[in-house]
Amino acid sequence: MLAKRIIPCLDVDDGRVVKGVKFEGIKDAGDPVDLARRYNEQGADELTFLDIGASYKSRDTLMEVVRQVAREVFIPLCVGGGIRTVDDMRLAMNAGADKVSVCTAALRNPELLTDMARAYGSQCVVLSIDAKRVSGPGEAPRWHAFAKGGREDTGIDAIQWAIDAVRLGAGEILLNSIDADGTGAGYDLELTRLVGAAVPVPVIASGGAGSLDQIVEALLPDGGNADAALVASMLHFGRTTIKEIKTYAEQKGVLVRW
Amino acid sequence: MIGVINYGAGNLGSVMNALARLGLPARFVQGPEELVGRGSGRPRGVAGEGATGEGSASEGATGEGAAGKGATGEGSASEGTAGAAGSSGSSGARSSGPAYSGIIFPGDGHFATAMEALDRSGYSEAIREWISADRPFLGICIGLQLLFETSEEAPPVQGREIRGLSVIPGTVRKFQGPKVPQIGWNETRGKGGAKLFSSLPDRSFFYYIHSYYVVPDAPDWVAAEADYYGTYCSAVERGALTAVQFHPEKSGALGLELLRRWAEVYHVS
Repeated sequence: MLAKRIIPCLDVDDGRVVKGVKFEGIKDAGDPVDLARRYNEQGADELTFLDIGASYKSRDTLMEVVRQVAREVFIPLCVGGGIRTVDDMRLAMNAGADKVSVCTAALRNPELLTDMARAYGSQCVVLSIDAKRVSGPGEAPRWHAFAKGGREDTGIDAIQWAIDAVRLGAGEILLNSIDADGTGAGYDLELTRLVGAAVPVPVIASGGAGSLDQIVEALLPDGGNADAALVASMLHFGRTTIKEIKTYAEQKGVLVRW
Repeated sequence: MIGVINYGAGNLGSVMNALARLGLPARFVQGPEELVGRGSGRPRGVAGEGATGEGSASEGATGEGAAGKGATGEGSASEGTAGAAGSSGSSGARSSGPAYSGIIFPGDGHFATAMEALDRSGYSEAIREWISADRPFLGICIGLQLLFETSEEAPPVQGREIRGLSVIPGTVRKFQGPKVPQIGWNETRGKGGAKLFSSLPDRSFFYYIHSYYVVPDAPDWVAAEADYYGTYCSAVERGALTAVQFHPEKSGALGLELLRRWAEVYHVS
């Protein structure tokens, strides 16, 4: 049986791991290589690095981080943030990434997913969706995909976008709930479950883990039924460890890898 | 010296990084003639091109840094091979002993595209010869699937079958279920008597990423199994031939340990 994955997410800005709340209010959380090592030792199933810096310098610094991590950490590495072209993807893959994630660039140019899948295979292409609930109280639930780090409403239905993106070449969906990001209010279980049922590829729940229960809920079949959970603040600020998350998940009946 | 076959499928940097981490000297094979030629005990044709050229600098004590650099350098493992593969003819010098003590054949890719590249470059024949001489061989992912005769990924074209390396009688099938490919860590059970797998601890998880799985005709090829929409063969063994569906180079400490044991059991160094 396939284990559910616990994936630490490192938002990196110019060589430092940072973490914000609802995409704003950034706090420093440490050195990315140190954190990658630590999470690997704790039993992380994969690592995600997102470049949230705006400059080329920030990106080059992140590539150096990935290169260093790839030499000593032997689990899958995903790199995202500012990847707009197949050439950008190649830079990340050559640095040692196993896959890349794209968000805004794919919304602007959906064919990018196809080009990336042709170049490296869909297993290397992760579509990141920043979704926000746009339906009012009493209405049928609807979510839109947002661009530019959650600042721009594209008006595109998030679930339909997931379906289209997989058809175009995405091999995994990283589903980030903007409503919940960094607030500790929990993942959006309903959205996670709906996207998972709509696409034939793994769904990684992201955004808003504030407690062990919330992580486990995202993974349980009657919760979010996600294949993996992305965890950031809770780990970076030492509120929990991968081992603690996995031990708890296992107690609740989730298959985890040791 | 371990030879890593790079015919242009996927990022092989992690395999080189893992071998470097284990202190096992490795370089990219420069062409099929290195598998059939019996050189002086060390690789010939050191002056490769592109990505493979840098990789070739990684010998002995300097292996760690250089292998990592070569593997991840510009030009990329996925592009730099055509030149190397086609560089110098076949089996020119068969004078004295093989260049490598073991061969690793990793990568992702499409069955038909990969076979076409192997046939065209002369690797098909060289790999078959290497394996039939019972020299240590480790196939990873597509490097397992290509050892079989046929694959559902490459159905017959105009009635003509697309043949794999056909070292192992059997075929390759596609998973039937709602989520394909399988991506993630799957619990893998070794079979009793298998050299590398019989001693796998309970609850051994390896990292898999694939849509197709192998079905050997003879069950005694099966060295390990896992479950995904049914039980499937995730590793084969016979003589000095080992091949695995998962990625040991991405399977954490357990994966590194498996690579280390492969080198130890088959005296590859």
